[in-house]
Amino acid sequence: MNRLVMLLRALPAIAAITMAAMAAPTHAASVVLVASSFPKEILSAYKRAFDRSSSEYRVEFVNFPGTNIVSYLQDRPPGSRPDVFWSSSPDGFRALLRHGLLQPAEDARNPDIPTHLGRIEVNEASNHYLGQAISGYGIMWNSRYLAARGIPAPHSWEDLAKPEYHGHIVMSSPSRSSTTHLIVESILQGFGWDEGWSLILKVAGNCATITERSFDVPNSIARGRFGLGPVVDFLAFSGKYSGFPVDFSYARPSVITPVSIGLINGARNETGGRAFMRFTLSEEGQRLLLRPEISRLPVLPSVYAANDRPAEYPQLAEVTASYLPTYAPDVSESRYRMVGAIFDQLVTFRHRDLAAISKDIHDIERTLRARPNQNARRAVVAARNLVFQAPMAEDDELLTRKALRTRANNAAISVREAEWARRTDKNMAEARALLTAAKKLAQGEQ
Amino acid sequence: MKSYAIRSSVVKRTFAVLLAAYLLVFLVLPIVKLVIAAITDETGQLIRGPLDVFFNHPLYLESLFNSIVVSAGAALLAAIAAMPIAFVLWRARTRPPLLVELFGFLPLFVPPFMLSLSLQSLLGRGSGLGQWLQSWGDMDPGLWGLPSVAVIEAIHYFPLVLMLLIMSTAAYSEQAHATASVGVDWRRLAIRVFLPLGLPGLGFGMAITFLKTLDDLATPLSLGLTNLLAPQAFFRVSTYGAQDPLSSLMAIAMILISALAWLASVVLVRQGLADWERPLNSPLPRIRGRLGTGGLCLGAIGAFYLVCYSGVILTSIARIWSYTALPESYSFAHYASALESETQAFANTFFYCGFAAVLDVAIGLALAYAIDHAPDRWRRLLTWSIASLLSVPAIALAIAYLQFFQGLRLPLFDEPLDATGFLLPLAFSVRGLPFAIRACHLVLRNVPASYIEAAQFSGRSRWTVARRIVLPMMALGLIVAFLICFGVSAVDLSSAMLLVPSETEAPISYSIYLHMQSTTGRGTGSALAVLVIAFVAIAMTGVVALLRARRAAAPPIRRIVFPGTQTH
Amino acid sequence: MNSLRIDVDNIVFSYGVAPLLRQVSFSVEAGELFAVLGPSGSGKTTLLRVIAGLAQPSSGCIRTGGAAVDTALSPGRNVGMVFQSLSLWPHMTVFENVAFGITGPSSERETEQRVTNLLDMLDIADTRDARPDCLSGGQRQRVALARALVSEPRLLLLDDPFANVEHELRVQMRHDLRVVQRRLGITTILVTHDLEDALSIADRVAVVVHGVIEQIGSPASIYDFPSSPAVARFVGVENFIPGVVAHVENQTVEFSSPDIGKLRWSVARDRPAEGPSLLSIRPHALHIHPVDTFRDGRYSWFEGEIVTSEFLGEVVRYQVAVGGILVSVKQLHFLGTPPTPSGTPVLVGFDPTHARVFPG
Repeated sequence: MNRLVMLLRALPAIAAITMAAMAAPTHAASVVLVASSFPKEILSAYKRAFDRSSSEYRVEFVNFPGTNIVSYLQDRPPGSRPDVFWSSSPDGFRALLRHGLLQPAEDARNPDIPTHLGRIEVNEASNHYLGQAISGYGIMWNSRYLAARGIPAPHSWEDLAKPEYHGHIVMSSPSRSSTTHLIVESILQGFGWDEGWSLILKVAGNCATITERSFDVPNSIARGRFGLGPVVDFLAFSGKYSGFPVDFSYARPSVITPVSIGLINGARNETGGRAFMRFTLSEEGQRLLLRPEISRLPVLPSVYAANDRPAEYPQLAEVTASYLPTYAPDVSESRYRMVGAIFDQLVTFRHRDLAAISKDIHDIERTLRARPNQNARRAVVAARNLVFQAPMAEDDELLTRKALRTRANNAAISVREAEWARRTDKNMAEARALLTAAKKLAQGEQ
Repeated sequence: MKSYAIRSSVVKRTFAVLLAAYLLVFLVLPIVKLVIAAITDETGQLIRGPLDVFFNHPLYLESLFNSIVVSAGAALLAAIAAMPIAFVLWRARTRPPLLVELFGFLPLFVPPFMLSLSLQSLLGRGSGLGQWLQSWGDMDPGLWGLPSVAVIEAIHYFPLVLMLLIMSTAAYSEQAHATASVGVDWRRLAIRVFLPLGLPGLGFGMAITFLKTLDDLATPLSLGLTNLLAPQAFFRVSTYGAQDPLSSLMAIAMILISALAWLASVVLVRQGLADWERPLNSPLPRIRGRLGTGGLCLGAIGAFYLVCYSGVILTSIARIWSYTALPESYSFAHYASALESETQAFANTFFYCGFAAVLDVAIGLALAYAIDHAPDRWRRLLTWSIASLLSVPAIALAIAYLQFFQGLRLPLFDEPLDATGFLLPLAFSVRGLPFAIRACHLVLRNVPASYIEAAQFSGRSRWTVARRIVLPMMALGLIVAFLICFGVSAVDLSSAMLLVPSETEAPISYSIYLHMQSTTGRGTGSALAVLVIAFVAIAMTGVVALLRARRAAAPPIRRIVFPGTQTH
Repeated sequence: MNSLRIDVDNIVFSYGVAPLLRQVSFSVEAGELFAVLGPSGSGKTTLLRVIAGLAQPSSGCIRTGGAAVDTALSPGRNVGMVFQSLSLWPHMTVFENVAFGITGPSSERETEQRVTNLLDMLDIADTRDARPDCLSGGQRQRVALARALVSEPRLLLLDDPFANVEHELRVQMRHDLRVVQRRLGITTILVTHDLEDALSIADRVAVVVHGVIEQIGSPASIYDFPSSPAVARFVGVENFIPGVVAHVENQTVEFSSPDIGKLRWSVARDRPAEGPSLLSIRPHALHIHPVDTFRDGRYSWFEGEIVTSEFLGEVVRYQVAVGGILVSVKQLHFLGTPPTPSGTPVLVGFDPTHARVFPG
C-alpha cells in the first residue's frame, strides 16, 4: 500500500530525476533516492555527510515503513523505483527478497566488515541486503529512580519478575509494537513456550502500566515516571547520551537484529545507489551511528576503537554474546498475531487485575518467608500456576498455521480470544480466592 | 423565489443531487455497510457469530459498561462542578467578557489528551508535584484506573459546561437580583429560576461531554486504559483490519449509545427551548466594574487551568527533567525543533482540516439555504437530523469508512483510496457539518435576499454583485464558520488515528500525540501543544477583535456555538 | 425625463396552494404617484416584486408605455426600487452605496458629479463617507432613495419605505418624497400598509385585500365611498351593524336591525338592494346626546348605554352598548369638558347619508 501524500512528497524528487534524465544524461545520475523508515535525525545526518563527501551524487529520502514497501515497488515499473531500501525491519527485507525486488550488491560491501559478528550473520547469504548496523534489546532504567528507592539495577529478564520491581516496570504490548514483539518472542524461544509465558506474565504483573506505543516506555523511564522496562538499545542510549539519568543493560536471551541496506531491483540510479550503500558501510558512514541522537551499534569493528566514541558505549562483543542462537524467524512470523492476541487478552486488557494479584502474591510470599506455612505456600503456588500460565499449547493448530487476515481465521481467533478472556477471568477469580485463603492462613500463624 | 444567487433550477437541482450524493456516500451508505458487515457473512447470509462472540466476551461487555459509566461520570462531574460556580457568578451578576466566554469553548478546539499528559508530568512519580509529594502516595493519573478518564475529561470540558450555563442564565440575573431585593430567598431562586433556565445549557454541555468522552481514544490510551469501547474498537481494527465484524459491532454500539445520549439531551434541551432562544438572541446587558466575587471565581478557575497545564508548559521548556520536582535546566530548543521539524505536520493539518472546513462551509451554505427554503415540516426534520450527526462518534465513522471504501482505487493516481489520507478530511467534514450548518445559517441570515436584489437594480453583472456585495457581506461569517470547522477537525484525533495511513501524514494533534511518547520528542510535543493552544487562543482573540469592529455581532457568535439548540 | 406608463394586466401569482395574487389589473399613468394599499399579507409586496421583475407571475403580463415587455421589466434598466428594510450594504460608505448603481461608460468625475448632485438634492451630502449603520433612520431612507434614483430609472418602486419610521419623521419624509417625485416627474408605485401614507401623497390608490384589487380611485373617493366592507374596514370604518334592508315607498329605505331597531331614510339614487345587509358608519359620523334631547328628524336615532370611554386627545372614543352589540363613537373633545361617564344612558344619532349599506 502506498499513499498519496507520500507520493506527492516524492514527486518533486521523481520529477526532478525524470526531467534531468531527459535533459542531460550526464546529470541524470546525480540523485539517489532512498526509501527508509528511519527517523529524521538519522536521515538528515547521512544526507549532510553523503552530499558533502560525494561530488557526483546527491541523496533524497522517501519515508517508508518496511511493511508497505513491497506493494509500493510492485506498483512501479522497473526504472522508476527508488534505488535503495534501508530499514531495520528484517521482515521487510525477507518479503522483498521473496518477491525478487532486490538485486545483489556484493561490490558495495566493505571488506573490513566481518560476515559474522559473534553468531550473527551480518549480510544476507547472497548479498541481496547487507548489514549496516545492529540493534539489541535489553532493560533500561532510571538510575535516580532506582537509587531513590534503593532498588538494584536488573541484569536479566528473570530479574524483572522479582517482587522488588513490582509497580516500577513499564512495557508495551507485542500487538502494538514490533520491538516489544521481538523481546517477547525471544523470551518465548529462549525459555520455551510455557516457561516463557510464565515469565512474561510475571513481568507483566510487575508492570505499573502497559503503554500503547513502544516509544512511551523509554520516555516514561527517562522522565522518571517509572523505573525500568524492556527497550531497544538505541532508544536507551539516545536518552542516556542526551543527558538523562538512565542506563541500559543487554538482557539474555536476546535477539539482535541487523539494520540492513539493499539495492532495489529496477532501480533508476543503480550506480548511485551502490555509492550510497558503500558510504553507509564505510568508516565515515559507520562513525555517524555513534552520534548521541542516533546511538546505534556499527557493524564495522574498528569504529568501536575510535576516540570520539562516548564513554561506556557498549562493546561489540558484549552485545553479540547475548544473541539467542536458536531464534527462528519463521516460527515468530507464523504466530506473530497469536502472540500479540494472547498478550492482549491476558495482560493488556486485564492489566490492573493482574497487577493486583501479583502484588498479593508478592506480599504473601514475603510474609511466608518470615513465617513459613505449608498450606498457605501450596495455595500461593496454586494461585501462581493459575494466573501465570500459557493459555494454549505450543503445538496448537492456530499457532502453526499462518494466521492470515481471512474472515474465517479472524472469526476463529475471535472465538478463541473470548475463551481466553473468560478463562482468564475465571482463573483470576479462583486465584483471588486462593490468595485470600492463603493470606488468612499466613496471618493466622501470627 | 426569494433568492437571486441560485435562480436557475438546473443549478439548483445539480446542487441538490450533489448534496444528496455526498450525504449518501459519506454518511448513510458507510453506516449501512457497517450494520450489514456486523450481521452477515461473505455470502450475505445472516449470522449471529459476531454477536455471540461479543456477548460472550467478558471484556467487551465490560468495555461497553465502562464506556457508558465513564462518559456519564465525566458529564456528571463537569455538571456538578459547573453548577455552583455558575450560580455564584449569576448571583454576583458577573458576565464574563466575550473573550473569556469564548475561551469557555476552548475544550472543543484542544484535544483532552494534552491535559492527561500534562497531569502525568505534574502528578507522576518522576516530576512536578508528584515527585515532591511522593511520601503522601502515588498520584500519577495513570494509576487511578477508569476514574482518571472521567476526572480528566470532566476537567477538560468543565469550562464549556460552565459557559453554556452562564449563557443560558445570564439574561435573567438582573431580574433575579430585583426579585431577591424584595425578599425572595436565593435558595428559592436557585431552584425555581436558575435551574430551569440553565437546564438547556447544562443538557447540551453534558451531552457534548458525554459524546466526546465516549469517542475519545487518545486520553484512555495515554493513561494505559484499554477496557473501554473506543480503545477496544481501535485495537480490533489495528490487529484484525477494518473488515472485522466485531469492530463493526463495537462501532454500532457506540453509535447507539451516542444517539440515545443525544436524544436524552434533546428532550432535556427542548423543555426549555422557549426560555433558551430569547436570551441567546437578544443582546445581553454587559455589566462592568462589578468583578468582586465573580472575578475572583473566574480568576481562580484560570489559575487552576494554568496549574493543570503547567506540566506541558514546563516540559516544553525543560531540557532535562527526570525524577526532580522541577526541570534541571531550561531551553527553548524544543520550540525551535517543533517549528523546524513539524512543518510537515502543520502542512498536513492545513491540508486535511482546511479541505474539510472548505467542504463544510460549502455544504453548510447549501444545506442552510435548503433548510431556510424548505417547508416547515422538512425544515425541522433536516435541522434535527443534521444536529444529530453530532452523535456519530468519530471512531464509528472511521471504521465505517475503512470498511466502505476498502479496495476502492483513486482513479487519477491509481492508489487505494484508504491509503491516501483522503478519507480523513471527508470524515472531518461529516463531523464538522453540524457546526458548519449553524454557522452558515447565520452567514445567510446576514445577507437577506433584498440586499442582493437591491444590487440587481444597479444592472451590474451577477459576478460583480457576488464579488462586491455578497462576498464582503458574508466574509466575516465565512471566516468564523471556517475556523470553527477547522478547529473541530483539528482535534478529531480519533478519526486521525484510524484513518491516517502513516505517521508522516499525521495532522498536528496526532503528531503531538506521537511526539509525546518518545524520549526526546516529549519536549517537542509539549512545545507543539503549547503552540497549538496559543494559536487557538490567538485565533479566538482575533475573531473577537473582528467582531468588536463590527457592531452587534455578539449575538450571532452565541448562536453559532449552539448547533443543537435551534428551532429553525 | 421621459416617464413610463405601466399596464398591469391580469397578473396571477401562486406560491404553494393558495394564489397570492388573483387576476390583478391596473394602469399607472406616466409621472403618476400610485399607491397600493393593503394590510400585511394582502399580496401587495408580491405585486411590487412582480412589477420589478424579481418574481415571475404565473400568468398575465406587464406592459410599459403601451409596448408589451414580455412578462416583466428587467431590473436595473428602467426600474429603481427602495426596499422595506432599505437594505443598504453595510460594508460600503454612503457614496459607494449610491455609486454602485451607476453602470455603463461613465468617467469617475461624471460618477462623482451624479452622486453628489443626488446627495445634495436629498440633503444628505454631509453623510457621504459614513457607513450606513452610523446614520439616522431618516438619513438611511434618503440614501436608499438616492441609490434607487442614481441610475435615472423611468419607474420607481417603493416597498413600504416608511414602515419602521416614527410618525413625525414619516410625515416629513413622505412630503419630501412627494416633492422629489414631482420634480423628477417619475412614475412611482408606492406599496404601503398605512392609510395615511397612501391618502396623503398618492395621486391614486389601489386597495388590495387577499390578492384582489378591491378598489381603485382617488384618495378621497376611496375614503368616502369604500366599495366593500373590507375596504371600508381598511379606511377606518369601525361600525358594521347587521340588519335587513327593505324598500318602502319611493326612494325610501327601511333598515331593520334586532339591535338598533328600525331606521328609515330616503335615497335619491342607487338604492341598496333588499335583503340581509351591513350598515356601516364611521365612529365620528355618530353623535352622542343626552337621552332627553330633541330628536332631529334629519337624523336617525337609537338609544344605548356608554360602556367605556377612551380619551385620545383630539377626540374621545366611546363604546356604546346598543341591543346586543357595541358601537364605536368618536366625539370631538372641547376644552374643560369631562368625558361622559360609563353607565350613562345616551341617545346616538347619525346622518343616514353618511352611512353606507353593503349586502351582507
